[in-house]
Amino acid sequence: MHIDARTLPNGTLLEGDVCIVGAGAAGITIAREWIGSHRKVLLLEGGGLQYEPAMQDLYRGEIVGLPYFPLEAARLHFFGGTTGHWAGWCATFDAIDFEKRDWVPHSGWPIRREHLDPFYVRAQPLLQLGPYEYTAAAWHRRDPALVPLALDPRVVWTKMWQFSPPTRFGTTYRDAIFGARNVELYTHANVCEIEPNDTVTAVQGLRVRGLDAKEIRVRARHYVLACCSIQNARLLLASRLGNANDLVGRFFMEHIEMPGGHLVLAASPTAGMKMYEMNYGVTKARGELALHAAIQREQRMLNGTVSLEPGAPDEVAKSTFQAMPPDAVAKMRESRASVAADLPPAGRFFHVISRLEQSPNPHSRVSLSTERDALGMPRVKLDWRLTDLEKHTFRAFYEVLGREFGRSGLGRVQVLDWITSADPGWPSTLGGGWHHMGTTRMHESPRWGVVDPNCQVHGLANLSIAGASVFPTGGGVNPTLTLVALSLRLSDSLKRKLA
Amino acid sequence: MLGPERVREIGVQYRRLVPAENDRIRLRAAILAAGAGGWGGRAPSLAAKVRSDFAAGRTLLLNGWVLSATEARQCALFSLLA
Repeated sequence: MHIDARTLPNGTLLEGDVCIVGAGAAGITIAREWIGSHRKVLLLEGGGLQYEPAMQDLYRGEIVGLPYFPLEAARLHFFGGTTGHWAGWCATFDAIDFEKRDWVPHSGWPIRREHLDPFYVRAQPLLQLGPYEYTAAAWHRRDPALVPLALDPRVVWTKMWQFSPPTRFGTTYRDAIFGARNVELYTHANVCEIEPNDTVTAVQGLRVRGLDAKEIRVRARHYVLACCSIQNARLLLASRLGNANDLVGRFFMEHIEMPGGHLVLAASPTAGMKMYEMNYGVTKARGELALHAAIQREQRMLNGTVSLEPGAPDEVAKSTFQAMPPDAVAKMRESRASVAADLPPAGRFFHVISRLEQSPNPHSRVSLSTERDALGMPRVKLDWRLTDLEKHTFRAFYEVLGREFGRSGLGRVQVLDWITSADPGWPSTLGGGWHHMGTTRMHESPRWGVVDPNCQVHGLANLSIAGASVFPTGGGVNPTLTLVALSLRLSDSLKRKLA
Repeated sequence: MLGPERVREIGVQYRRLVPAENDRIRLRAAILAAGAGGWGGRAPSLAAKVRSDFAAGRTLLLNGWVLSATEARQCALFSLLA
């Protein structure tokens, strides 16, 4: 059932068993899991069913750290959330991503990769992906033209990606949500405050405000924040909740996506380069090059992958931020899939584009600004910061890559100047993947994490958080598949709790 | 793969980085010390040496290129001869 909250009288009280705040990939994933149960689910979406400038403006914020994309363009504020313009890239985190690495401060998840495996399997069809196969060998069996480069996999291996159509959650799951008798979707329902009980040990209710100044209240047995990393932190900070150890908003992470070098192959591989090609709307799976966990340990570096983009030596490759101005992002919202076209045959020259993990850093953070939005909520301030470890990772990655291409006789790698430069700063090509992670990180101890291993906020018995904000580290791949898997895991744990 | 101009630049950079090898005789000796046989049989032995350099981590970053020590010396020699 869908109700536009603007049609409700001022002072309305909504009651349910589970209240999910935010109807993006995480929120809709959880809501779907409860369809047909005997629990009443309230799904609150701040925006409407489509893009509305006034709603989108609520996401505007200040950038005070490294240059970043405008926040109101980086996330979508309507039913379906940012899946309205995502590109559909999916890959699993590696086992090493969950480990505590002594050279990566604040690393280590309280769960392991195998805990997430069954949920990755379930997440796969939700994102309209192919079979749960993420090895080059499995994809080669499906398509013999997908041949990995003959590099030593103990050094450089081919990590597989799959591509969602991409699934627009707002349209793909609209009928299921609208038609569910026990799920009530409220649009234009912006939560402005989480109200705790007297002892601040549980949530008592939510205050929802509209642009017309009307307020409604929400009560439920359990609450789930699922409104993206920046907004989850914003809501907790504005409500002064879950922050006894000054962790909310800290450890904001991105993936550093930018060109790092060039590859010149000694000869075009006889098997072709289809394994590494990307044809939007056509390619179902492709590989990128990653370094083996043993090499990461040896080099004391972060995780990441590189893609090989055919090019010419006189071209300058662009980062995602440079290649994707806000207008282009807006256009992505309108398209279901890019126009498919045959790719020209790859030559021997490739731009090498990195997607690297960011080291968790308490000084990289989201905080509240003094400015307020149209609902009276404090806006956010993003202070995105990187450390020397990311720079070291770039250099180590390209040197290892260069040595392995040389050893194998496949080609030679050229590293861009900024990587080898002693300048500690970042070049103008610095870019992120619009992947916001880590502002309400997961840890067994409230001293080091906002949520526990089941994604429940430490100290608040009936408040959980879904989405990439709970990631303690960001891995080297896009977060959507993992955040959907974690949302399924959270939903299962809530079902057990409310049983 | 690179063209003579870039090879020359790399060679000049190597000679700046390793001034002890900034002459033809020493460079030639260092390159030939790598493999069996003389220049007559050099192609296979130099290729093997290059691979062995990469495998052993005997590499340098010159003009951004990750090159084996043998390749770098070849570039240096070229920059002196050309």
